[in-house]
Amino acid sequence: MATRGTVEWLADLGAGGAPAESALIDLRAIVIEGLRHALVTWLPATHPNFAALTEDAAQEALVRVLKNLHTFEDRSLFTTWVHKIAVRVALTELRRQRWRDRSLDEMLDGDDGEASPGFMADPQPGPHQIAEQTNLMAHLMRAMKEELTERQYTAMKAVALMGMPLEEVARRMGTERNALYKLMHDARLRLKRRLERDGLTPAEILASFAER
Amino acid sequence: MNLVRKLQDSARKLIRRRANPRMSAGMASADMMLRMVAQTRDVEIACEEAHRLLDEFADRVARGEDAAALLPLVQHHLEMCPDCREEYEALLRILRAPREPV
Repeated sequence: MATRGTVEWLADLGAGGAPAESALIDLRAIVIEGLRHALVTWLPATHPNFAALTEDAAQEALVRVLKNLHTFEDRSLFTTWVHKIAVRVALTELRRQRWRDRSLDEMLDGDDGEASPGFMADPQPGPHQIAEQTNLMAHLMRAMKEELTERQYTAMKAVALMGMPLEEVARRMGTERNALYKLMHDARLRLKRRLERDGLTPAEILASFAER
Repeated sequence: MNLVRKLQDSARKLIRRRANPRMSAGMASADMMLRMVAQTRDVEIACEEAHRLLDEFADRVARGEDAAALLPLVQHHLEMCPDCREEYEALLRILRAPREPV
């Protein structure tokens, strides 16, 4: 494999013909090696689906790299930029596979988590912490129902409480991840302002978790 | 006794994070949601902008630079967005992986 810096990568990929072909072959190998490390928390390299997933992700990533070569801003190493694209492609597919059998309605049905210590990350808080955090959670759930639009409530519950990926929630809500983030940002602002009106400052909320 | 309790708490948190990859993104629990609400800022960048700058951010972190200080809006977005956080952590694993000898 040839050793290339950013300048050489851009030159070879932009040259077409044999230089571009050689660069793509090398870049594909680099992407696949990178995904082996990137996806370790999702599935090991020994998983039967690993090879197919990384091959498909690498192929799609290279298509996107070539299509968007003109957008590379030279803020990072070229290979880092390529890895970023490949990671996005691979994780999008893994999330889609992991969540494909889960509907939004199914996620939102049932326990609202109101005043439920079980929703807290620490299963063994002290009694004082249980009371304080349960009160906070009850307050927050009430604020969510009273301050948020239906779409905001859905998004916040699915992403923040049930752990569904933003892009999976966005797909089910007929929108894009970027737009959903903005929707949720507005929701968080509304909740923060509501809590402040109710006399709960951010410092007080964060202080209740300070010992954990 | 207090030190023992703190060590036990840390161990429990570490075990939980390893059991659930998304906990490393810090989202799937009510207390994390409360923290997120408390830390919400009036001005935040969304996923597209964060993704555009993610390679620069990750490269700087990998080089030991204070990327959070240099790109504070990206840092904050990664604290707020579990999807972007996951992608950043995956990218960092690539950058920090040992290099094969040429």
